[in-house]
Amino acid sequence: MIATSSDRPVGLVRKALKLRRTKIGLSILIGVGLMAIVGPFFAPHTQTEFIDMPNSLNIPGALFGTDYLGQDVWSRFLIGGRSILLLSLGATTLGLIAGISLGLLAALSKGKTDELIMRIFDVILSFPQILLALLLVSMFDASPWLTILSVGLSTTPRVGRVIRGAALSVVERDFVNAAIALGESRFRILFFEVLPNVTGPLLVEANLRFTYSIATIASLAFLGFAPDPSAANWGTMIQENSTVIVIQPWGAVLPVIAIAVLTIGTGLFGDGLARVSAGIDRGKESVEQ
Amino acid sequence: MPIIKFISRRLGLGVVTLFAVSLLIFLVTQAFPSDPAQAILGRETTPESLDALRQELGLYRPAVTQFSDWLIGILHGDFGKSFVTQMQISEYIAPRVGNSLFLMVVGAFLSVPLSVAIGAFSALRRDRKFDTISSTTSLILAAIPEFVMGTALILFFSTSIFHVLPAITLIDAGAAPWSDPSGVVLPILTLVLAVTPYVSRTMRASMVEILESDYVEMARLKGMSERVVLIRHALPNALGPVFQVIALNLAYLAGGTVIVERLFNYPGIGSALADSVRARDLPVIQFLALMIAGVYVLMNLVADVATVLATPRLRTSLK
Amino acid sequence: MGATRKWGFMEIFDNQGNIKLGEVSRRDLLRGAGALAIMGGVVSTIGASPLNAMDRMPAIKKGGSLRVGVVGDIKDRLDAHWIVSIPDIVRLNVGFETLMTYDESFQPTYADGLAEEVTTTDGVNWIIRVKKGIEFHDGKTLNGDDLVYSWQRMSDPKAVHSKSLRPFLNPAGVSKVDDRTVKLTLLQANSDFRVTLATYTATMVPVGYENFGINKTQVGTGPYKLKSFTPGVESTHVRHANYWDKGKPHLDEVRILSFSDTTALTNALQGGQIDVAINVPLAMLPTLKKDKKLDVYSNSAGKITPICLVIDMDPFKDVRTRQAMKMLIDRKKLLKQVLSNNGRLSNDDYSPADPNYNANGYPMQEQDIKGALKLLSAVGFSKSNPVVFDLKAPDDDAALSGLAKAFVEQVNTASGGVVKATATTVAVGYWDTTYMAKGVNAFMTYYNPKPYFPQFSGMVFSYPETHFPEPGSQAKANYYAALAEVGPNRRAAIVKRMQKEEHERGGYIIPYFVNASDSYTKKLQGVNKRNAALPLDYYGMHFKNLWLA
Repeated sequence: MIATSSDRPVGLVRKALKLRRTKIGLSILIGVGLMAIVGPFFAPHTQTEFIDMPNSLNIPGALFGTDYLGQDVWSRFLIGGRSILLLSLGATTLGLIAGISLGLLAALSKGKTDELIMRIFDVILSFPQILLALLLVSMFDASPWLTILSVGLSTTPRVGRVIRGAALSVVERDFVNAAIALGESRFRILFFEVLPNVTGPLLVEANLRFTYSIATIASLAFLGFAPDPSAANWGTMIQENSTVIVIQPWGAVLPVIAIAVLTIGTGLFGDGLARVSAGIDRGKESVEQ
Repeated sequence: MPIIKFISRRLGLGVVTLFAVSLLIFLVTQAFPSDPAQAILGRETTPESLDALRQELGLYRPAVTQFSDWLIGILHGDFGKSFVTQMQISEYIAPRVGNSLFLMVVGAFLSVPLSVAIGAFSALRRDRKFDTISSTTSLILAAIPEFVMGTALILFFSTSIFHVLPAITLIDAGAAPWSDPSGVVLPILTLVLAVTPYVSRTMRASMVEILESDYVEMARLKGMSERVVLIRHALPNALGPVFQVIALNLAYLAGGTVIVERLFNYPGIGSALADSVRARDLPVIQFLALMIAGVYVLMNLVADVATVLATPRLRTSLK
Repeated sequence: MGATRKWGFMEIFDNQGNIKLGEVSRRDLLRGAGALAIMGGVVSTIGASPLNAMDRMPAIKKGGSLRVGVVGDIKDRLDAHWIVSIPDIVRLNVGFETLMTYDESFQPTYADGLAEEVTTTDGVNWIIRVKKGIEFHDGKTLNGDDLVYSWQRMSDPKAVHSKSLRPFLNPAGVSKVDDRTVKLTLLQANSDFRVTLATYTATMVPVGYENFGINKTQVGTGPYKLKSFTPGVESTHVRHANYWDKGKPHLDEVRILSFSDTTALTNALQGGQIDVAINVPLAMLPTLKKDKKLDVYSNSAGKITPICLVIDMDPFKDVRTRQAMKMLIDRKKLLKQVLSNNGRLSNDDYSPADPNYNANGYPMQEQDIKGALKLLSAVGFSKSNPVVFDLKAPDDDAALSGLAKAFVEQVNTASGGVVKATATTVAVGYWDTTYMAKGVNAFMTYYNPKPYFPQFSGMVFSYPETHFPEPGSQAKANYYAALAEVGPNRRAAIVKRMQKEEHERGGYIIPYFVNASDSYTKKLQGVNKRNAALPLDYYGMHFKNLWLA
């Protein structure tokens, strides 16, 4: 599963974008992302403003009615994507940085260090991701940093294993040996010689982890562990409004749709990347054909 | 025999991992910022009764002793008592393990053959209509979080559109989960929808690879019928990676059902875990976390061994 | 999610109420007679209050299993005297009974109680005699030793649950008179001690009753005995064949099922998986009322969800800050926003069913932003030096967390930035870690309906949430004096002084009384729709009046 050395992130994405699914995925991602980032500026009301009788529909000025606390569903929906998106980005970034560093280190050092890192990964991997995050978040009060840390931590070994696997075969190649012979520092070798050669699997993995981070963070919010419980948040909204879904469906249905569409978008985009980089699973839509 | 050597090495690794896992669980739960005795007795208690309870719970022992006592207890089948309910953990957990096992087994029995069939068929029909539809569907399903999927199913089948299935599962004390068949349909359906996409995608990829491989080509060249090639040569070799994914998904079913069980009020270990986390019932959290991690480690072990045994190529390479 | 729970004894012995000593008796005798009549199987109604609406009902159908749903989790517990949350209260009521009960105006009555007569001459020495032939679930007859044991267990100074009984009783004050009679010698006069007898946690247990958490041999006198109990899942209670109230109970079995949240609870009710849902979300009332299979009953006896401002902590140390907060809120809007108008306004006062309610006749506080800002600026607060605090609430009850969020939004908006409050909901261990904890200056609480004196006792002795009264206050002395006082006029004068101090200097903000609502299948008969301390009129008086058509 190695990318060819000519694969650079930009080139890879460009290649992937020739596939229809990548295009769809990316447009969904951009669409939902844009809505989450700039949506708050278009919200007609604040996220905590009292509009009218709770759980009502057909209220002038409130497109999708009011939620369980008489707040504007549409405004909260527009505002509620941002924190999930930012937290997921943060957690994924953290998991990537830690996973890449440890994965590359394991691949390059081999022997005992490799074994140790892999065993530590095994230990963390023994917990389902949501379980690990739940344990950590419930122990200390939920805060943005703790959410990022716990989801990032559970992401690390998954990234690390993939990177190590991809890097192992790169490490064997001549140019790495040459670099070692030339006396280059291990850091330089890791990040400037090895890393650029594993961007394919890395991008695919990053995308996959991003999808899972969104799901995990939304699930945590659904279980009541959102960093700011007053703030609008798609996961929290589903939890708050699912009781009254029969009377006022939008409070729960809008975020359900949004999370589903967002994760489908990242999934499609990631699948496109995988098809052009990894060489597995070449369907009809593969650029080679 | 190399196979025995291989299994015993994997077994040894598994034991080491489990030990590290138990240590990690112990350390993490020790970091809970609350005194269990205080949590049990409430805030209005006297210092004397706090002291007595701490003594009784063994909280004054050094951490190392607490850890080794806990571990030795578990090895002897003594899992300790719940802080909150004062029940023996084994007594409290046993019926829930049964319930979760039921979800897991039925989920696996439905999803594994289904996904192997879908995956294999997609690979054979590569790039045709069935393949395109199934791979896109599985891609979409795989992306949706369980609580979103579950909520959507409840909306569709129970509360808003149709009213054909109960929205929650009610299992009488001492009764088997299948005593209320309609009540378990939605949780099982949610799990099947969560697991099937992964297994079928892996199966498809693995099958595609095998079908393009030299020895399948060779078999074809030898003049074997396509049917024989498929069943005797392609399928067994393709199943290897699938075992891994199946095992991982079974393990996921063991612990990752927190959300699904919570959503459907299903009395299994997932909801027990969510409950004890909220109640900060340390002994139960420790035990459940260890048990779930144990299942994970065991499943991985089984998958590795099954892969080696099932894959003719690997079996020969061990010899 | 989860039941609203305090970590203990919330409802225990807060109750010293207000039957007037000496004034006894015509009324009491009448009530006693009513109880006896019911004992004899005669249906009776006393005065204006329908004790039992069964005389209009079709023939009672015996047998069947009633499935009661309630939000609960593994913290569910069983104890005759020390319980925590709503599911615990339900389970307590199935199996255990008190000596007296409350009527719809929260006066103690003998109806449905175990006591035949409760007398005193001085408010200090109390003689309690129980009815003949009351049998425990294990076949033993309730005797004097059991009465002594029960009172000693309730007043055990080492027990957590004895806090508000302690000023009045210790185990040494309990003695046996004969096989049906016990004598309590109080530490100070309490002319309202009958109210304590009617508190639902003052139940009678057999000698040797011991329990912590779960115990499979829960023995009481109630109409159903425990068959099985799994915390967080269910409990099953079967008919007590030798129950003293002959002809009852009607059902063969009561099952109490725990649900993880109100969504699951209402889904189960609408799907016919349970017959009764305790404490349904108010937002669901319109839907449930529309459902042809379901009935809804709202108890407007005065459940409250106070916002507690701690009066000896900044920024609430200055009484003017407290007053400003009370003036900044728009109570009508809060009632609409949080309860969908399922309640009525409160003036930061409580116990609306009590004769002593609002004895000074204060007018309802309207929103007065100008006045509030004037007070705040007099204290020294401004936009650049705002009032800052964080209001904490448990996340498992929308009525508490919703009010916290709505309150914060209102004071922030109305003050135009002079108040900068935040609302935090605590997902794990709110009642253990946050509620009344050191350093927390604003938080949420709740109380089921009860008379004025027990509620006062609860807020000052059992749960000193706001740290009221201030040093040098006469509030506690007034309370003791009022309980000891026999003359109604002098007592009313003391109550006025107590309420004046609470009104002017208290730290509670109570914007409204909540209509606690329960929903059940139309097949359920025998529900007495009156004001009561507990839902469905004490759960159909320990479920003994209920039957399934």
